[in-house]
Amino acid sequence: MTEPTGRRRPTRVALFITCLGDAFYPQVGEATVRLLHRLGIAVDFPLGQTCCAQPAFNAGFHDQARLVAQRNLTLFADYEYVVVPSGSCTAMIRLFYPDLFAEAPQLHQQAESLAARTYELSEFLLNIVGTDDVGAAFAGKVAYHASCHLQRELGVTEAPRRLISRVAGVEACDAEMSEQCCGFGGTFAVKYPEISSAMLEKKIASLQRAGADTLVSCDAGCLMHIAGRLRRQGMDVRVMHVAELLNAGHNAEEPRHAPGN
Amino acid sequence: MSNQEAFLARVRQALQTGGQSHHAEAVSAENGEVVSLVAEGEDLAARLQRELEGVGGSVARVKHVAEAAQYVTRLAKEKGAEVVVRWQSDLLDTLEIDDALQAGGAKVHTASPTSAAEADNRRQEMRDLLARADLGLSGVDAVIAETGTLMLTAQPGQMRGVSLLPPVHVAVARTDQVVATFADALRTVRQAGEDVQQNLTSCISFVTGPSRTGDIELKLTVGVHGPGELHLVLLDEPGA
Amino acid sequence: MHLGTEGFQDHARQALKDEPLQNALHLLTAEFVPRRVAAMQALGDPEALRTQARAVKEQAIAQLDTYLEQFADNLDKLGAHVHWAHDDAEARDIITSIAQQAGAKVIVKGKSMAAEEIHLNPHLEELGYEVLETDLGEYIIQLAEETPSHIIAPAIHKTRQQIAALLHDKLGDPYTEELTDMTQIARRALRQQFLRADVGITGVNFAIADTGSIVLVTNEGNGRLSSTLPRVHVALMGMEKIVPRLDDLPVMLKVLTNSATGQKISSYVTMITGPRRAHDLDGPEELHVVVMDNGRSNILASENREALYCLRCGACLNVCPIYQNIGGHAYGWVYPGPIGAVLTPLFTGLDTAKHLPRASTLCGACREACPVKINIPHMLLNLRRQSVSRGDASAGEGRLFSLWAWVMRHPGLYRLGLKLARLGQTPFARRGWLGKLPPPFHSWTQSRDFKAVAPQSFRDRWQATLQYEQPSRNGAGGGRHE
Repeated sequence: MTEPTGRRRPTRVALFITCLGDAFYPQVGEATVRLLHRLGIAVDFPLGQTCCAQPAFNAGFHDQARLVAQRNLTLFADYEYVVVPSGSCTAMIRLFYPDLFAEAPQLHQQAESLAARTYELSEFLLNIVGTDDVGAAFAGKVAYHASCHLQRELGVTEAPRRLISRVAGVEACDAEMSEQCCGFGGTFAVKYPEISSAMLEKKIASLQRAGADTLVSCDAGCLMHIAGRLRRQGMDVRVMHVAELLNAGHNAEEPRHAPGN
Repeated sequence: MSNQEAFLARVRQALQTGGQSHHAEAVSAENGEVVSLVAEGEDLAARLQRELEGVGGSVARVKHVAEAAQYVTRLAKEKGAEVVVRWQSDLLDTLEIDDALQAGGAKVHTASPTSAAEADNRRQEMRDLLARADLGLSGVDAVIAETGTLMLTAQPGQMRGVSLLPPVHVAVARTDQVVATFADALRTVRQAGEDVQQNLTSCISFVTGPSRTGDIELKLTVGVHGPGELHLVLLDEPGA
Repeated sequence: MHLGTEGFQDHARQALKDEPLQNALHLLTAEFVPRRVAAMQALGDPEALRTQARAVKEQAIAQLDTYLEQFADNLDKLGAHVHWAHDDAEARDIITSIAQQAGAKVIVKGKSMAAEEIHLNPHLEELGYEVLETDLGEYIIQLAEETPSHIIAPAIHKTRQQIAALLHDKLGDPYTEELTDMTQIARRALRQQFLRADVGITGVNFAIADTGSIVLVTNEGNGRLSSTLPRVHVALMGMEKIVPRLDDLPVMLKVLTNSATGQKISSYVTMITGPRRAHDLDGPEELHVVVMDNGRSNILASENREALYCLRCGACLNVCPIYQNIGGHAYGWVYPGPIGAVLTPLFTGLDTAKHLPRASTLCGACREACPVKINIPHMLLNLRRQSVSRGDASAGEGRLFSLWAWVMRHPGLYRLGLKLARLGQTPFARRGWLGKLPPPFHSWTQSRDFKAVAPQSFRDRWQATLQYEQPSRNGAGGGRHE
């Protein structure tokens, strides 16, 4: 992780919204843009972007993954920082792009370069911008769900927790299983629905034991998975992306609360 | 059957094929040095006692040889021991315990060192005795404070079975035999002389508490194969 | 009972409905996970220790040929016999001929995953030997005619009542559910066999190259009995069990027992250096060490070499959210859990085991728990890639990903796709969620709703308004900065 000390505060970043964020959670991207704006950081959104290529990569279809990933090498070539509101997609770019292009020296170099410039949102705020208090306000008992790739591939464990704890009005109530996988795993949830659901049940039970009324995470995939079950069960727990929480109290359009929305 | 050369040739071939992509950290001789959890200047005997009791062993601290002998005799009586098999070692001999045990109703058999030829004759007899023994009495080669572990080598006078077959194992040690860590215990073997293989003896048993299992519903039960009780008598008499 | 790995899906489904198994798994998770975490924390700097332990394995494997040779030379000096087995059949034959030459009738066995790997028991039994597992868990499994479901807690899937009934039925002792009594029943039965046995077979936890010693790590003492009482001791080891030096033992032992059971050390650590010596009054007359390849050299040559660093501690099983839900038998072969999902296809081939690398969310809890930091999730990814390249994926899946890649490379098409999805979902969407999805995604909605595509995607919002918004000039954002 880069140390913020002695480093110029970033003034401009490119946003990689991720396909899930774009199609299902546009409000997350919106919150991310406004949050960065409030911190004085200009945001570019290269319109050619689509997906990080992780679904194909994880399924073992590296040729297809390479085709999609290669476009991102070019699209984001000129940005000093690329900010991604997802630990999973950041891990894809930072860890697996270089592997994916290991055989092609020039592309590999580009992949290494992009990997070094790409940050998940919460680590970007804490480590690069150097802030743990973004002036947000939200009243609720918030449990944090540590998404797997964020905590175990990127090693980002502290940043989201610190940022969440500094939001005015938040009562942090970590579920004892906050580090346990929710069972999403991309296509895993579809290929092994029974196992995936059993994992999700346990996750939700721990959330209930914690007495949380709001669940926050850094990855839309987990949120969609957990919220999908909460909604099916008719449970009244809000599910929010960390960007929404960190922009709460500022957005004209307050985050609408899942389940239901 | 494969022979050694063919087997190793395949290994060599595989190492070369997979060679480039794998990283191997250079390891120095010091790599095995593990940070000791025993603090500098910590009372080793106290630590040993805490650790061994923590895993279900019992530790008796005694001041004199006579006290040690009394403790063992009383324990044998308590257990109703009729057959006792013991190591032969200088420390155990100084306890002069055989008569006391016999007076208490136990028959004592000693695994005394013998010639190689004699050993061949005595094995079956000793094995039969151990199979019936109610209590095994041994010394130690070292005791490890960090984990509460007895180090027992196999050599003339020191049968493996004494600490293994009877339901109760009693070991007598002097406090100056207590070392801080496992690595320290291994060093005592190394330092004993040049030939490491010789010093390692045919078998070193590191024993930490009674025999235990968690194989039924992960619940701890003792005495499944080895002794269900382990008693350490720690004699705090230098040079005893 | 041999399940086979092809049936993974079905076995997993059955396991999820198996109530005693679910209770056992709950217990396992509740007991082992916190125990290991607390034990590793108590070691001061567990990370440094894991780095050290990994370095030992890296070096041992990188120069495996040298260390194996050294190990064999040292055993030779001690008068022990070294045997080399290229595959499972050779290993079985070697052990059989040792038993034959020993004139054996009764064989006692300590716990050995390597022996499970070569299906040694059925083979020896077929030849007329009386073979007894002596680890309590393995003994229970043998009485029940099942296979282990956990590397270090083989009978974890059986309840106390089931075991009590088994002991009563098979041994004829009065029925009891008292743990101490049950244990004593097994002790008595097995002690008789130990005294009768001609050959003792054990596994090996560590094989020390520079002394020729083998190390057994046990809690019950059956490993000690198996290697002490019978006239002949056979130690079967995968060739990767080597550590270079005696001095490596303290660190390896520490990470092994703390990771496996949360113990600072196991009740017994037995370091055997050759057969009994002339003056010894007990110990085996003959020591045979069988070094087994059985597919390991293929792993050594592959990108998944680090699978050979595995110490068989079982820590990755205990933390794995998949294993926690389905247990060990669903994996269908000797090694279950995350490391099993790697080892099984590496040992038995992807033909039958292609499901296993896919049955993972790649959450990485296994890597975090591993005492030698084996990167299991990345090896699962390697195996998935290999599996696809050799044509294991269905034609449908291949087409789907090719279509996906084509759409994702063309933002216009991608946009059109979103539009079509929006249109298609309109009749079904309720307040932004879908209760049912069409195949092949319908399995998602069996238990969960699925998010509907948003009426306006982010890029629509960006183009409509967001791109014209400006960052605040002071950049304070209402917050404090460090």
